[in-house]
Amino acid sequence: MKEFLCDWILSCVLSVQPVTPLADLYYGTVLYDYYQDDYQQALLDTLIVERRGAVGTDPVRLQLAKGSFAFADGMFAMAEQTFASVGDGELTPLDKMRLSFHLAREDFRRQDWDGVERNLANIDLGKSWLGHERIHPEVEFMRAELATERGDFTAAQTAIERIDPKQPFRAYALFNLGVSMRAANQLEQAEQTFATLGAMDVYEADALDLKQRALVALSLVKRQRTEAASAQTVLGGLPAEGRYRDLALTSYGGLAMDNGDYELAARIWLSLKKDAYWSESSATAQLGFPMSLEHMSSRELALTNYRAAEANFEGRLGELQSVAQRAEDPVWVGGLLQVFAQPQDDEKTTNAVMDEWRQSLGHTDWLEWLATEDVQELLLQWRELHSMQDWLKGLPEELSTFDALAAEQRRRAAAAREMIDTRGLLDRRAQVSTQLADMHARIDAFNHAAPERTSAWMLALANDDEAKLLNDLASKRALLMQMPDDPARVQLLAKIDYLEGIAFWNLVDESETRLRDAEKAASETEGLLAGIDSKLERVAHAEGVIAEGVQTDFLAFQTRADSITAQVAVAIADRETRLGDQIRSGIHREIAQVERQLLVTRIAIARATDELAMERSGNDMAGGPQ
Amino acid sequence: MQRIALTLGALFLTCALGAPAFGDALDDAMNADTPPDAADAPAQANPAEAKSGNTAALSGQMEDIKHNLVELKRDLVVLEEDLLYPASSQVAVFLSMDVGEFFALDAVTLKLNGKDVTHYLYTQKQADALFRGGVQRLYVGNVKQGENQLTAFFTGRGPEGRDYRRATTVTFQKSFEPSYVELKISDSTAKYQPEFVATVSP
Repeated sequence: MKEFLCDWILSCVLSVQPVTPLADLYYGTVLYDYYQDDYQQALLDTLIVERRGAVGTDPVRLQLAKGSFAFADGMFAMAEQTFASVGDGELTPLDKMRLSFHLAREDFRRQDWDGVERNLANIDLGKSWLGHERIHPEVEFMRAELATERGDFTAAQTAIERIDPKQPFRAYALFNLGVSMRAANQLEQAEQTFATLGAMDVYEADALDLKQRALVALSLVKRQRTEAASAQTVLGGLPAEGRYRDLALTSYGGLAMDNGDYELAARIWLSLKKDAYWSESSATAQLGFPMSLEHMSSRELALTNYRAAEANFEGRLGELQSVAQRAEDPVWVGGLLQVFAQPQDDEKTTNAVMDEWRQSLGHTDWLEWLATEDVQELLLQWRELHSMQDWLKGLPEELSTFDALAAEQRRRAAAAREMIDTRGLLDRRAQVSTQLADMHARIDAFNHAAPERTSAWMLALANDDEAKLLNDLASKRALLMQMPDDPARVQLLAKIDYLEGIAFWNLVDESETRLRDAEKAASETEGLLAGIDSKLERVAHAEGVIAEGVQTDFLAFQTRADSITAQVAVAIADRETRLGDQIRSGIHREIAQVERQLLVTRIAIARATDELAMERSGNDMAGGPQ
Repeated sequence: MQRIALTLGALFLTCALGAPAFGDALDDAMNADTPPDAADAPAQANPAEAKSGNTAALSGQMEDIKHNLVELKRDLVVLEEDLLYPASSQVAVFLSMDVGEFFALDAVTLKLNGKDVTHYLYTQKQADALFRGGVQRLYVGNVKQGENQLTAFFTGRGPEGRDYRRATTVTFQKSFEPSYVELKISDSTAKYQPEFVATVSP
C-alpha cells in the first residue's frame, strides 16, 4: 500500500513537468555540438544565440562556453577577448574556477608556465559527498606538464596518478614526463615511465599511438643503459604493422647487429627491403643487409647485394632528381596537394587521386616530405581554407535564393496590403458587423416583448415566405379598406383576419425555436466576424513583419563574402607556396641522403671487391703448386 | 684483415646513417630532419600547441578569416531562419534527455498534424551528447495558426535491452510568437521505465 501510494504520489509529482526556459534549451544545443567535438558548430550556435538575444539569466555561462569553443576551434584571440570580457564581479566561485581553467589552457598553449601555475592554483574542485576528491583530467594533465617543465618529476608523477587511466591525457603526460626524464639523463626513471605507458591498457587511437611511441622510446633508453637484449624484447613486442613499424624494425636490426646476431639482422633487413615502397628504413636496409652478410662470411653474396643497393640508390636518385625538376612547377605542386584537398568522407575520390600520384611517384613515401609537425599544421590550414573556399563558392547561389524568397515575401506582403486596402476586406467586416448588430437588436426585442398580433412583432419572427404572406395580407386589407363597406368586404376582411390569426399563432408556437435559431445565427455571425478579425490581424502582422524583414541588404552580404573569399584566396596561395617549398626541401633532403648512401655503398663495393680479390689471391696462393 | 673489414663496414654504415654507431641510428632518425618527433619530442595533448613566431602569424591570419566567416555564417543562419520560418508560423522541437539509464535512443520520428516531418537516427556520439546534457534542435518548421498536433515516436532499447517504441502527443495553439516544444526522455525510478514527455511553450 505504501509503495502504491509512493508510486502514485511520485507519479503525480512527475506528471507536473516544468517548462524549460528557451535560453536553457539553446544553451543545451550548443552543448550538444560541443559534446560531439563539433567546436565550429558549437561556436556558431553560441553566436546565433547571442544574436537572437536568447542568453537567458546566466550570461556568464554562455560567455565561458563561447570562449571555450573558440579556444577549441583554434580562435585564441577570440577566446582571450571573450574571457577578458567576463568581469570578476559577475562570477560565482564555480565560474571563477571555470574561467581559471580556460585561462590556464590559454597560458598552457602559449607555454606561459607562470600563468599556468597562477591559474591552476585557483582551481579546487573539492570533494564529493562521499568524500572523494573531484578530479578534472585536463587540470591534472596541466599540473603534470607544469611540474615536468619545472623539473619536479615527483609532483608530475603525483598529478599523473590522479588522471583516470582511460583518459588519453594520462598517456600524453606520461610520455612527456619520460621524454623530460631522458633529457635530464634520469634514464632509470625514464625507463620506468615509458614502461608504465607501454604496459597501459589504452582505448583511444592517439593513446595507442603514444603507447607505441613509448615502446620505441623505451628501447632507446634501454640501449642507452646497455640493456640491448631487453631493448630487443621491447621492440619484438611492437605490433607487426603500425606507424612505427619501420622505425622499430630498423632499431631491431641495429640492435641485432650490435649484439652480433647477424643472421637475425639479415632477416630483419631483408624484411624491410621487401617492402614495396621506399623509406628511410628500407634505404637503411639496403645497406644493412649486405653488411650483415659480410659478417656471416658471405662475401660474394654481400658484394652482389651492395651492387644491388647501388643500383637501387641510383634509381631512386634518378627518380628524385626528375621529381625535383617537376617540383619547380607550381602547377605540379598544386596537383600533388590535391591529394590532401579531397573531402575526408570521400574515400573513392581520395583513393583515385592517391593512385594517380602513386603511379607517378611510387607508393606513398613522398608523403614523408610533408611529414613534419609544422607542415602538418600548414596542410591542415590549407585543407580548412579549401573547405571555406568551397562553402563560399556556393554562397552567391544561396544568397540569390534568399533574395528571391525575400522578393516573394515582399510580393505577398503587398498582396496582403492590397487585400486589406483595395479588396474591401474592412468594408466586408463592417457589413457583417452591422448585420450582427441587427440580429442582436431583434433578439433583444423578442426577449423583452410579449407576443402580440402586430405586424412588427410578427414580421420580426417571420421567415421570408411568412413575411411575404403577412405583407400580402396587410396590403390586401389596406386595399379592401378603400372599397365600399359591403358584405363581400366584411367577408374578405374576416378571411384576412383568419389567415393572419393562423400565421400569428404559428409564430407564437414557434417563437422559442425561432429565437434559438436567431441566437445561433448571431453566434455564427460572431464567429465569422472573429475569423475576419483574426485574418485581418494575421495579414496585417505578416505584412508588417515581412515589410521589416525585406530590409536585408543582400548586396552587403555578398560584399562581405567577397572580402572573405579574397582573404581565403591569399591565404591558400601563401600556404601553397610554403607547402611547395616544403615539398622541394623534402625532395632535396632525400636526394642528399640518397647521395650519401650511394657514396657509402660505392665505397663498400670497392672495399668488398678488394677484399674478395685479396681473399681469392690468398686462396690461389694457398692452393697453388708447392 | 677480417677485423679491419668489419670495422670499416661499421664505419661505412655509420656514415650512411649519419650517427656515431649503428644503434644510435634510431636516435638520429628521431631528430628533426628525419621522421618527426617519434620518441624524443614531447607529445601535444592539446591541438593548441605552442607556436613559433612564423606559425603564430599564420595562425593569426587563419583566425581572422575564421572569425569573419563564422560571423557571416551566423548572420546567414539568422537571415535564413527569419525568411523560412517567420515567428508567426515557426515551431521548433527540442529533444533532451534526463538521466536516460532506462532507454538507449536509436531514432525519433516526428509527425506534425498527421504528416511525417522528420526521422532522425542517432549515432552513439549523438546519443552520448544527449545523455551528457546536450539538447538537440530536432526540427524547425512552419505550422498554421490555431490548433496543431505533434506526435513523437521514440525507438530504442528499453530496460533489459529490449526493443522499445513509445509515442507521445501534444496539442498546441500557435500564436504570433514562435512556439517551441520540448521532448524530454527521463527515467521513472518508481516504475523502472523511461518516460517521454512533451511540453509546449508559450
